[in-house]
Amino acid sequence: MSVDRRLQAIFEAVFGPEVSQLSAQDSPATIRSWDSLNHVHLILALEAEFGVQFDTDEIANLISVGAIQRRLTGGSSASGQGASGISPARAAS
Amino acid sequence: MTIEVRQFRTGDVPAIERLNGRLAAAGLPHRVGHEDPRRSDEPRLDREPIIERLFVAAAGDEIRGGVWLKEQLSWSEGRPVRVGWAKYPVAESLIDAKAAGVPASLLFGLLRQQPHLMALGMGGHAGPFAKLLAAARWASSSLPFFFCLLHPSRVLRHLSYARTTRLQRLLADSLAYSGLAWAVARRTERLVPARRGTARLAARAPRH
Repeated sequence: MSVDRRLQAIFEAVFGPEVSQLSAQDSPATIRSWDSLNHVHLILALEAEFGVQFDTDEIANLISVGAIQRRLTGGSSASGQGASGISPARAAS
Repeated sequence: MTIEVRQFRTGDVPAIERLNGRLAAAGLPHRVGHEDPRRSDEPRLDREPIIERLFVAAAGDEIRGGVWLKEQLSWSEGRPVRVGWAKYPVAESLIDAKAAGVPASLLFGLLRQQPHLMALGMGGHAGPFAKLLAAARWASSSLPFFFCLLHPSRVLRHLSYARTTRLQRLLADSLAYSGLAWAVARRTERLVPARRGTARLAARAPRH
């Protein structure tokens, strides 16, 4: 399954049917239920689905679908922080 | 907004004050404190029983949130272990959706600093911080919690939760300054055995 389709499934699971058609511009500004609590759900779901662990600083910066797509497909997140590709596990994990 | 979670720096004070100003302007009572800017040395557990450090979510020149990491030595299997707990998390996500990722980043940032991390007393299971920890799959349990008010008038004058409305402040001050609070506390202490309330303990769960 493509990254986009897997992302779509995760977003629907976390945020509900409100996100039936994701776009790269979607963010907490366009998805009302994307609050700090659901951001934790989203990060953990992404980590489980894609087998990655995001750096601490990345977590706060993955706040748009586009940033998440770029991060998961090997680019950096919107912040421009962190190495491209899959990062090593968080130190505390 | 590029966020970096890091330890407090002296130069952060103005940005923290600006954050507190934005929160206050939105009518929220929450504030991020700051470490004593005059302190130059790192707090050390061989000098103090409990140390605390502030971690902030910095976005350029602005601060978007903060949380205190308190640490002390505990014992595990006969050996001293440094453990910590998270206190007073505040984030701009309360008023700005663009900062929705800040609380999670602060939480995971603290875990990077101190893997033996817990949180205590978060206003009940339904509180926002307790919910955030539950979302992060922390284990939690209610604990017996006992209060003994040694200085009830001081508590009434300084406990913000007892002073959220003008009427509450008036009532609290009346009880505090009249001495009635002290009398009630002493009488209650004699008549009512220590009552069990509940607080909340959240301990970090294994990640996977």
